[in-house]
Parts: sequence; C-alpha cells; structure tokens
Amino acid sequence: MKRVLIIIAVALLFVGFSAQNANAQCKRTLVYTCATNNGRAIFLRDFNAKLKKSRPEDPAYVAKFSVVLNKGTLYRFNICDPKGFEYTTMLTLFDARNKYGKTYYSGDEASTLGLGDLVKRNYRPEQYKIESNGGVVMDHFDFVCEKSGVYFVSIQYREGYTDNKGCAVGIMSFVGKNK
Amino acid sequence: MNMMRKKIFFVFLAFVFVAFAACSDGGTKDNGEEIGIGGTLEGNNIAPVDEESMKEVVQNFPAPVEMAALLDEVGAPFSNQMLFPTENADDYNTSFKQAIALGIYSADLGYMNIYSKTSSIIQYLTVIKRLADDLRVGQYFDFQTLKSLAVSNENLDTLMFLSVTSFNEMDDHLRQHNRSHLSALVITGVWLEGLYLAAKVYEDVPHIRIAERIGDQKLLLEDILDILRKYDQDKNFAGTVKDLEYVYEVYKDVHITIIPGKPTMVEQNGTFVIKQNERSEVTINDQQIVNITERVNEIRNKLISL
Repeated sequence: MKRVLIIIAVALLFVGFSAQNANAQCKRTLVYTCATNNGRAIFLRDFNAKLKKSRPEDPAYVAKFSVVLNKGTLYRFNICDPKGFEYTTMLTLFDARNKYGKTYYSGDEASTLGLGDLVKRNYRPEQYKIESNGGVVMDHFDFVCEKSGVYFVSIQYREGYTDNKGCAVGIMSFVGKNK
Repeated sequence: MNMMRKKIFFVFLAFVFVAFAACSDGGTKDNGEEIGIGGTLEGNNIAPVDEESMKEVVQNFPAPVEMAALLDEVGAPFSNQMLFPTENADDYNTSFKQAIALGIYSADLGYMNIYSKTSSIIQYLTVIKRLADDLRVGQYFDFQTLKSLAVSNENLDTLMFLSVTSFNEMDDHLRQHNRSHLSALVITGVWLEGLYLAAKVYEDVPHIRIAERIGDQKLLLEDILDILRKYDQDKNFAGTVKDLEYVYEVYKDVHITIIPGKPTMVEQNGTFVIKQNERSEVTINDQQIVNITERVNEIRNKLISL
C-alpha cells in the first residue's frame, strides 16, 4: 500500500512540475528565444497562445489577438513552438476584409498560389519546409503594411495536430534599417 | 486500513486537482481570444468590458520605437533639443503627473535607442526608475540590465523584449489593483511625445511619410479619448480630455480613405513577403499639421510647467 502511495505522490509531483514548467517555457524561455532570433527584425510584441485540444469533428481552437499596425512599416511575423512540437502550429494575419498571410499553406493552397515554384527557385530548408503533400510550412513571413489600423493575429494547431494542447508564441517585429 | 484508504483518497484528490489545473488555462492573461475558424472573422465574441477594452488599447498601442524608426528612416537627424527635459522630474509629485511623465520619458527613450544615442540614456532611465518607484511599479523593471543593455548599444532585441514585457507586467499589475487609469495616462504620455517628435521633425523634414503618420494618429487619439473619458469624473482627467479634444478638433478635418486591393505574395531572399495592395490615403495639409503641432506643443508645455 505504501508503494502505491509513493507512486501516486511521485506522479503528483511530476504532473505539478511539468505543468508549471510548460507554462514557464511559453512565458519566458520560448518567447525570449523567439523574440531575439529574428534576423534583421526588431522585436515589438509577442502573442503568447495557450492552445486547447479540439475534438476531430470540431473546428480547431484558435487564439486571437488584435494589433495596430502602421502604414509604411515592414513587419515580420514569426511562429515558435516548444521543443518537440516544431511546425505543429500556424499563425495567420488578417483584418476585417482580408486574410493576408500565414505560416502554413496546405498542398492545395500552395499549388493554387504557386508557392511550390517560389520555393523551388530559392529553397532554404532553414526557413521553411515542404511536406510530402506539397504543403509549405515556414517559421515567418513579412508584411508590407499599407494601411494603418487594427489587424488580427490568430494562432492554432495545424490540421492533423489539433488533438494536442500546449502553447505557441507568435512574435511581431519590424524590419528596421538599424539592425 | 481505513486510514490508509483515506490517505490514498486525499492524495488522489490532490492529483486530480493538480492535473485539472494543468489542463486549464492558468488564467486568461495573454491568452488571446478564441474563435471558431469556420465562422466569420468579424466581431467574434468581442464584447469587452471596460477592463478588457482598456487592456486591448494598452497592448495594441504601437511601441514608441515605431515612430522613432520612421523619423530615422526618412533621414531626420537626431535632436537632443526635442527631448522632454528631466530637470523637472522631481516636481511631478502626484501619480497623475508621474504616469504621464513616465510615458513621455519612455517615448524619448525609444527615440534615443533607435538613434543609438547612449549619452543621455542613463539620465532618462534614472528618471523613469524614480517615477516607476513612485508609482509603486518599479519592481517590474530590471533597471541594471536595462542600463547595461542600453549603454552597450547592442542587443536591441533583448532591450526591447525586457522593456515590452516589463511594461506589460506593470500594466497587468495596475489593472489587477484597480489602477488602470495610470496605464491610460502612461500611454497618453507615450502617444503625446511620439506625436510631438514627429510634428517637430516635420518642421525641418516635411516628408510625406511623416505627414501621413501624423494624420494616422487620429485613430489612436480616438482610442485614447475613449479610455480617458471613462475617468473624467476626476478633474485632472477631465482637463486632459479637454486638452486632447482641442487637438482632435483639427483632426476632424483629416480624412483617411481606404483604397481596396487584394494581397499578393512574393519571395525575397528566402522570406515570403506579403504586399497588402489595399492601402489607406491620409488627407492632411501643412496648415493642419502646423495647427496640430501648436496644440500638442501647448499641452506638452503645460505639462512641463506643472
């Protein structure tokens, strides 16, 4: 009986520790790493999304954030996943009228947009990956803002990964001349 | 044996509790807002209460470095003369004045950082620390690290990261302790100083991009006024609302038109770049900019002479 108690107590400690650790990773380590490994871009804001699990028949759980962008600025949007969950989430930028960009395009979307040709011309495996079905996954995209106003950033698990729960971090930065 | 069963039951209960806590959000802080992606994009369950709209305005507020970066990009030289003087900082002896001043000095700090002007940064950081301490939010700023990063003129990303997260933590703290009005004043200060810097630069460098950015401030001014009006039962807030409405009078005739377009994507050096193609056109003339400059100047001078 004592053994059972010990096992439960150890499990309890482990779950408590993991839970705290997972939250901390999304809050600090992951955000910091994602925010400061951004090439020429200067960090402006993070979108720290805690993602819930969805049932296969339901739409994916989506975390949505609003953000004000300025005309004439070149913004960069990155998505970062915790270690072991790389490329499982996607970030989308949109406003009330248009969807502008996202970090994942399915095979069909990539084909319609001609992304495959774009990628093949200048393939950089460190910046994006091509899936067997032709889908394109990238860790960032740039957005040339031509209209000041309110925009939205959404973060969600990609199709096929929605039965996960965890966190992901979006980073907004601007590509300034100073860096 | 019964005692042992009880123990197991309690340990099990605790286990369930912790597991449940691990599955829950751990609070809604920074968790965004959920939408069903199958639904429409507009107005998804956005029914903010006052505190939520306050949080949204504060978190959405463009960083002071964005305005400074624009001034740098159009080739405007740095001017020490434009900075809000630090000599009077000790005289700001109410939380109202301290919060606005904190915003103003933060905007100046962003301006100095973008231009890599490290000589005055310590002075401004010291003033900011004093004001933050007076407002009892100094614990959220690691001033030693901020100082060393600012002076070394490297790791701008780390500096920005620490500044933004510190500011968000400060804002969370203020909201949790029913002091949101101070956050509102801080962003008012940031906004006012950013507009002042742009307007002053425009006098010597009348670049179209600066004119447009000054015109765009109409949208942010509307947000700020909405927030400040919630507190206008206080005479200081009422005075600030009146001052900003005086600026808004000029903005009433500034028009922003949207020219529709569909986004396109190109690939540049391994990065996908999205060109919006839909654009806004700001109709603002030089006289309106002069009027805005004069009015912002007046308000700022009033603050300096408090």
